[in-house]
Amino acid sequence: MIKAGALLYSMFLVIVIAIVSSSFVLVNYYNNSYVIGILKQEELFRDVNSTINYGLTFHRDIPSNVLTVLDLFDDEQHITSLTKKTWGAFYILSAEAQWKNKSVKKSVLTGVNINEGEKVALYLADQNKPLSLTGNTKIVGNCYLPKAGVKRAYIEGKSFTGDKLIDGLKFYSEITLPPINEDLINENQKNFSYLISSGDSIVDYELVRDKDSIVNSFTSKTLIFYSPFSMVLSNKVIDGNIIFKSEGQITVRSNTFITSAILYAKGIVLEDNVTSSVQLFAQDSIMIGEKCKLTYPSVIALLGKGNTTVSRKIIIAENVEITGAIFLYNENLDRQKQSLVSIGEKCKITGQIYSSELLELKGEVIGGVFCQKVLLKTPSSIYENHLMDVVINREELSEHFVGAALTEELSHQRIIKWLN
Amino acid sequence: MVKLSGKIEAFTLMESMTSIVIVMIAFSLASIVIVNMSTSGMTREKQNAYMLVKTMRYESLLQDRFIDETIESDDLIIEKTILDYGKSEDLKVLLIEAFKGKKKLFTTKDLIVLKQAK
Repeated sequence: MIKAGALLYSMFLVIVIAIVSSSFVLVNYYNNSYVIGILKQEELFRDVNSTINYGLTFHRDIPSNVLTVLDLFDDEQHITSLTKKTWGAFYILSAEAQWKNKSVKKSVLTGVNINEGEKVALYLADQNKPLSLTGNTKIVGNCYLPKAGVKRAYIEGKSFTGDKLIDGLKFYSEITLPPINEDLINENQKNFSYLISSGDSIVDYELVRDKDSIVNSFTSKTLIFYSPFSMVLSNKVIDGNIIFKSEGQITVRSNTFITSAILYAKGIVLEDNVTSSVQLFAQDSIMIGEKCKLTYPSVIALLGKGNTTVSRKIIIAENVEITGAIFLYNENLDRQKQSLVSIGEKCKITGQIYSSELLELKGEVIGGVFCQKVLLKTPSSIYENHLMDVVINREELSEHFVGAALTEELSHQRIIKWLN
Repeated sequence: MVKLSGKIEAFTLMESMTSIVIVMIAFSLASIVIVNMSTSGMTREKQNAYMLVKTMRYESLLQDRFIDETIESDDLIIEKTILDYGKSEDLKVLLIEAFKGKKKLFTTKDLIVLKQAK
């Protein structure tokens, strides 16, 4: 029989070597797992960005409110999901990529590239009346005007003081405006009703009336605050994926700051000095008080449905700054009570204005104006198709400005901002 | 000189030979593990490749520089290729690969929207 004295020593040595080797293996395994995790995380971010780019390109083909699964490169290595939903006059694209327990989710607010087509400073529908300019009026950019043309006018002791009536090319306009984007109207008309989609959470406004801040991420379900009565938003900070709906009027006080949220109501009133970035959708009227500042991307929209006893109006007081879009669309034209967008003196509007009926314009517009008829009210009279002391400058609008798809011609989507 | 109190037993030749074989096997297995470890995972050259690919991708996106390019750094070759994306003309695939000789070390793939198509 062989004595095992030396074998014991060797076995001990083997165990020591095994322990040292296995600890090396373990350290290496964890190190590798960590590195692979980091690399995978970066790949997920790249895939999410790629998915957003895919969504921008195939925007029209992607159904709203439905999760679309994509194999980005058809290699089963880059599988992501994409969701599109309407957010007022814009869209939200949400992309998600997953690997094991890791997940990356990003959302973007998108609008249309309004510089893709012709850069129109003024489109005035042809109502067989010329456009008359007076005072210090300046129009820079291409214009679509009635066949009756453009002329100088002398009103309230003022005559036209500029060098050129139109600093740009002139084309003949049609009897009606380029048709408004039906999808934009229909999607937002639906939101006036109490009905919500299955992906949203509805909360009675009374429960949060006394809260001073309401914040909801775009990665969560949309929070809808509903009231059958009028609402007053006072002393609040409202930020994110939030919609306020009222069957009555919503009033926003100057001590309220809103970012990204949407308001749907019969009537909306912004008191003087409100500063926010908000989308306002009303059915009857919107009143914007003096010195309000609505930063990009803000939207003021009046969507008239059916008949009304009073004329529908968007009234913007003096010294207001708005960057975004203002549009009015009335389903039924009532010649006795025509709808009106009125923009006060010393206002500065950067972006788009579309009025399917009347527009009373004072102040300055950096962007494009589309309207059926222009109205000028003076203390002594009311003039049709007259502009006095107005600046419309399409050339000054940034190349990077992303707006709302007010007409169907505009389709190329671009990112307005990253939401998370 | 101290005298040993007892008698120490010596190992037999067979015993010594067996233990030497066992230790040799253990050492060789351990060295295989360590060699495998050092050549797999994130090696120094893979780290270099990763950094170069990442820098090239970042600069391409920042500067909208979407052209085919190849750079050489030490013994690494970084290739940037802009490929058509079959489903749309507006989209392109930004493919960046790092090679050492014929061995592919690192790859990134992005879908990009070309500026003129934005």
